[in-house]
Amino acid sequence: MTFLAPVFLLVAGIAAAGAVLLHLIARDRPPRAPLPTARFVPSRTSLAATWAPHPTDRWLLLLRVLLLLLAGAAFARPVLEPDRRPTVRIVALDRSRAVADAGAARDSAAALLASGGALVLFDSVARIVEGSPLDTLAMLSIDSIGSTHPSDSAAAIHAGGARGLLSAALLAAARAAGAMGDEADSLELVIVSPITAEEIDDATLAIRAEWNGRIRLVRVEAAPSESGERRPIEIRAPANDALSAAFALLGTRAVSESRVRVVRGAVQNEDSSFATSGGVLVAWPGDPALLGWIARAVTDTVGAVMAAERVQGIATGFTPPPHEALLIAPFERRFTAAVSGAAGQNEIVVARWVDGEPAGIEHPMGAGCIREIAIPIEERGDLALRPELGDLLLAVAAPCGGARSFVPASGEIRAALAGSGALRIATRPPPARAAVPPLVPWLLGAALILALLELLLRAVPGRTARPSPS
Amino acid sequence: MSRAGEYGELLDAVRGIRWPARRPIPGALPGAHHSRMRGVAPEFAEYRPYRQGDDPRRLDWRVLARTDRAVLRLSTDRAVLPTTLVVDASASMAFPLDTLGKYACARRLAVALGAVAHAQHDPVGVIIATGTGVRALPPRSRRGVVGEIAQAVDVGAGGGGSSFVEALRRAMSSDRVVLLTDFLGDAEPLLAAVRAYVARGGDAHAVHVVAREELDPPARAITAVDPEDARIARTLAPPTRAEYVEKFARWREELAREWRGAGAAFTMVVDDESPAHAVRRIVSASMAPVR
Repeated sequence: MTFLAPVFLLVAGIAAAGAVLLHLIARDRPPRAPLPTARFVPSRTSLAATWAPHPTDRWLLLLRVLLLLLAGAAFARPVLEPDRRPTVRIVALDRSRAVADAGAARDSAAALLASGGALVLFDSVARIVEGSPLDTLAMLSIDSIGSTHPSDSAAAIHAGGARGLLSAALLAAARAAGAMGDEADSLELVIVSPITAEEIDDATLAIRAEWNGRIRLVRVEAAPSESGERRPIEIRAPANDALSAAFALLGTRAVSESRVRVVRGAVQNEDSSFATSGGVLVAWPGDPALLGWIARAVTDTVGAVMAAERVQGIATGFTPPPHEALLIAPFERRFTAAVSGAAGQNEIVVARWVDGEPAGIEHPMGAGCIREIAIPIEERGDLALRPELGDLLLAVAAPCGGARSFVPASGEIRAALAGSGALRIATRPPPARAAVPPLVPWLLGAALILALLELLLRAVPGRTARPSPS
Repeated sequence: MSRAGEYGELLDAVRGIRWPARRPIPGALPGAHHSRMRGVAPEFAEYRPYRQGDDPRRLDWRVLARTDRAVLRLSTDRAVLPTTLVVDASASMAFPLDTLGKYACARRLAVALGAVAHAQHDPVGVIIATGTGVRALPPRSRRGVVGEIAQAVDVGAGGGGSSFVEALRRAMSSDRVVLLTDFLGDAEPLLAAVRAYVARGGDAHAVHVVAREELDPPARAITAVDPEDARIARTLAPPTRAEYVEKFARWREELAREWRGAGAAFTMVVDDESPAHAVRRIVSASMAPVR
């Protein structure tokens, strides 16, 4: 509730205090005392004013105080509408692998949300946080594995391993802005992110243009682009496995920034633990049915498969490390990927048949990921000897989410993201106020009723002879 | 201070005060006051020619030898003045409640005046008019009468309106009557009785006893209640105080004028005044010429 003319509340308060003060003046017969010459006292007045220890005539006082307060409230013109703040803030917090210090990013977001607002958590997907943003931030811990925080928003987000997408963050922020149109006149979007090149794709600036207002960029430290240590890729395969031979031919090239294990058979529990602890598990069985892939009704042949891990977006002046592979061979495509459930939106296609159908899919698993590869490698033939297969191996052995290249986005891109000018105006303007707020007639009516009661109470016969202090 | 001590100091203070009659009195008994009778007292008054039947021993031989006129030497006789003190002991005299100042003043004046009269060999008595009746001590000149008066007036005041007029009528057999009252009772009958008394040659003294609190009531607001008539209850507050003081003063002036006009000596005594000083004022008032 707000008051259009609050000064009348002050006036009503002062008047009510005055009424209380007047009721402390008791006009009553003073104490009797003998005086033989009383006959010479004028018989004009029979009451004298004295200070009463307690307010006199409390019911009448109560009526008068309520009457004054109601009248004051009516003149103050109260309106029942939700408070609109001048500005409400939407904070998009980057939880992707590009963030070096998730705690610092979280603290920055918490400080920005201290006065309220909305929180959007994003990496490869963006989610608007339900409930208290500060509570969610308090429970988030990007580095915790299997954390027990109750927030379904945080639990549903793959913690820290996915690539960030500013496009997703901007879209989520726009959805949040639409829901907050009634709360404020302006909306401020703050992006807490290292703003790396890998987080910007071809649609980012176009989506940003839809946000009609400036955006504040709070840059946090980006993670190092390379982990430094390159480890050899493990492979567990039967003897004489063609893929093993291809790995052997890679020689010193069979290394990766992450811990990578290629499994040619069924995935064991130990393999799952390897993935959840941050490793890249490449499950490349001879029979993709082991991975839950669905056998095609009709086996077809497809002439090529390609796999690439690319840094998407406009990254001028930067050449991503080439881990692209195009393998042309008479493959028999016997399986197709199963339709995933709730986790489908976190899947990344790491290899495609030439017609675009996924040949390999990455699923996040704990701190790492599992890559299901359904590319048949024949024992016969020279496929294992072809360098393209090695390239394919290296492409599917890339770190979870692709190569970790956390080069900051260029200044031009950052300037384009931030924009200039005023903040975004709330989508819904405040409703027009009526000249006479609807509460006013009710308050005046109540005050009138109290005034009538006050008159009746004063006129009640048998009340003690206490004329009105007014 | 005990009563004995209180009266002792008072009697010492009034010793020697003379309280003459306001006019020659018709008394036959020899006393201190001028008598209307002419007798053989040493104090020469006048000569009268000798008449047939006068006692020749009263002839003034010196005058006869000098002037060959036979004259008698006459002198003024002195007579006693029986005095009755009429004390009002009604409820209105019991004020203020804590000190009973008005009645205390009246009883001290009664004892003091009684002592003064007794010192002049005048018979003196007291009549106390209370709310329940009249208590009388007839005028006497014997030793100890002052003590008896002191005991009699110790009855205290209170108990409603007094039979003061009746007490006055009983006192009018004396040649001098002193009224010690606040005049808040039946003023008209009282005045009428005194007029008649004075017309018969009586010597009337009116002492108006007033309390200081009546002259200058407290500033706080009170409901003033007449102790002799509870129906009179009025608010005495700062707005009405000035008017009360003025009305009371006017009434006192009118009272004094009426009583003096009736031929009585009138003196107002405030209860906090020294009794000895008040007695001197009362006595000096009796020296004023009688109208």
